[in-house]
Amino acid sequence: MIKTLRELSTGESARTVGFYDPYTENLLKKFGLFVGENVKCVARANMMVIEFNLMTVALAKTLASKVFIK
Amino acid sequence: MKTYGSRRKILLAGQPNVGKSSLFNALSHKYAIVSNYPGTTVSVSELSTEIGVFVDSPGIYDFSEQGSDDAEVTKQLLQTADVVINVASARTLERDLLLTRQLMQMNLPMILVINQMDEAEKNGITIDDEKLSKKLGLKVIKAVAKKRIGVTEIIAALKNNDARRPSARDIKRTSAEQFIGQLHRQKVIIRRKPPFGKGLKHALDRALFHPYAAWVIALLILFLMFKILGVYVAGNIVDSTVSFMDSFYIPYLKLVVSKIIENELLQDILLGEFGLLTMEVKTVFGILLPLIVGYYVIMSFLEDSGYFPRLSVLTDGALSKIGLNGRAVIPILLGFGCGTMGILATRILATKRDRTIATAIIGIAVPCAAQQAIIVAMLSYVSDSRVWLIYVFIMLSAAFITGRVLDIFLKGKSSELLMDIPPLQMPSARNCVKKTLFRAFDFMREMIFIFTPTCVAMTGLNRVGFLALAQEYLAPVVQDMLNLPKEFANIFVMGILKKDAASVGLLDIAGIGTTNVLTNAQILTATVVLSLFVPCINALVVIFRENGWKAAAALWIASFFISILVGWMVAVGLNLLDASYGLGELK
Repeated sequence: MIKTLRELSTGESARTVGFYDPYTENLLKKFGLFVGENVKCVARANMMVIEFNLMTVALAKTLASKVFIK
Repeated sequence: MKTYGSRRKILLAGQPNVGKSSLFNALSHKYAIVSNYPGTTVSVSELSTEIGVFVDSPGIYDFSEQGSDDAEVTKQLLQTADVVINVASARTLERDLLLTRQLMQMNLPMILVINQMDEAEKNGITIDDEKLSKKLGLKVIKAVAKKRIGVTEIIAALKNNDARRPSARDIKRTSAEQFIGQLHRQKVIIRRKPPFGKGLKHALDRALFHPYAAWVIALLILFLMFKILGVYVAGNIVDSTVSFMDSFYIPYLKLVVSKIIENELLQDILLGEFGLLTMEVKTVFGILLPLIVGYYVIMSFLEDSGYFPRLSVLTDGALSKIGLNGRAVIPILLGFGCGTMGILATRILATKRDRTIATAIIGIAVPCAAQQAIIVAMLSYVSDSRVWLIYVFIMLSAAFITGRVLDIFLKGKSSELLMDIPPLQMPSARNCVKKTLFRAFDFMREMIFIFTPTCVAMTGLNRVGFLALAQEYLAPVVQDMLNLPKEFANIFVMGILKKDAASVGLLDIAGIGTTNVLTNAQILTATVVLSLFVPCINALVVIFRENGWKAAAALWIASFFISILVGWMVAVGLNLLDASYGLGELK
């Protein structure tokens, strides 16, 4: 089932399948987040902290809601 | 080939936190500050060597970053560069190569340095540099800059003119995903371990992201800082240096110098109330230097450990209420070291709006390390914890109101948090010492260039009777509104030029540890007024340079009136509290 990264609970992991718009895609690519990446939610508060490819990135929930995962 | 003076210009460019400054230090034997958070380098450093002029640039994610000063700076530097050393991290190579692809389009002689190879090996990442070199048509060198591994090869490549214009410029035609897919399929980059970390370090990392545990750790760190700086450094070291200066150095110096120099004006300049050999030496070496060094050691340790970006995550919620995001905590924390450093670090924030809000908070409500030292010394003499709580509450409120007001009135909206969190690491003692010495030297240089003329000016103003006049004219504010002794007017005058040094004068006026002439309420009022008072002249120059004269003037005027207004409210409030709770009688 496809959902957004924002819906991922702490400790859960999923695979990125797409982005809401090209702007979000380009923005997150700069930080190394591409389609097909295995992501894990490390923390959730006002923002989200995700881990992928041994990298850790903190991102606002509004941004996380523009990333589709499966 | 373009020249830079008589030598070629070798530009180090790459993404943030890939070790450009470490490589710059290794190549040039000059020290540029190295820390474990993205955006450490906010200005350009350069050093001329026999192979060329090495230029260290701020890290950028890509050249399309809108509103990014760093991307603009790097673009300008590239226009005059003869050779580019593109620094990438082995840990995040797929991502970093996207910038490499953009740099390749500029058609400049280029070398790709894959730094942090030790971390890659630890994490099971293998990189085939020969295959990568062939694929990109570039010279590729593996390195561990902080251990100087690979430096000889880079220098040899530069000497042999191995930097060549990329022969595979059409690589941009493939999409980023296709390009990365090729790197994996062709076994240029092999990742053997799962993409998520494990182990003790990882568990600690998780605790630093935990909503409750992270606050406990943050409070613990604050408590330890207070114990080290407030109790050990201020209480033991500074007490000893001050007592040495007061009982030995100053009396003997006065005795000797007054015999050698008979001119009364010169004697006053050197030995008077604002004397260069007495007041300045005691302030700088006896009081501020030990505290500054102690503070910078702790800050360096925290910076290098990678704790700051984790604190950004923790404070994101609170900072979003004042129009900022968690990333702003880094310049604000650096502002606690030195306002100038903090204001310069606001460059890491994404928008001008964010930078304006953070600059205003630093300028108004963030006391620098030297000031904090005096604040700790002043408040430590008040043995009632309520005074500490009131002080912290006032400063947090001042920061909150400043941010909130600007958030309401500034056009636009705050940027969203998107931040790279570097791995936690054990700080290198060598780098901590180097960084502390570098900053302490900067502090001393600033003191000599600004505090020395300030002391001479204060002596002159004192001799022509200006200070007495200022005391008289400022009496309605100082005595009537703030309920402070008239001598506090001198602090105002000196504080305009050098607030941190002026704070030391407060200790003398208060007679801390000797005559104790101020009540607890007056100590608190004076401390609050001085904490909120106008930014010192060097911070003002940086605000002017970064945000324009209107912002600098507005901030100066605002902080002047805010400090007096809040000071008056504190004085009146404490007077009322005194009647109800006896706060003024705590001594």
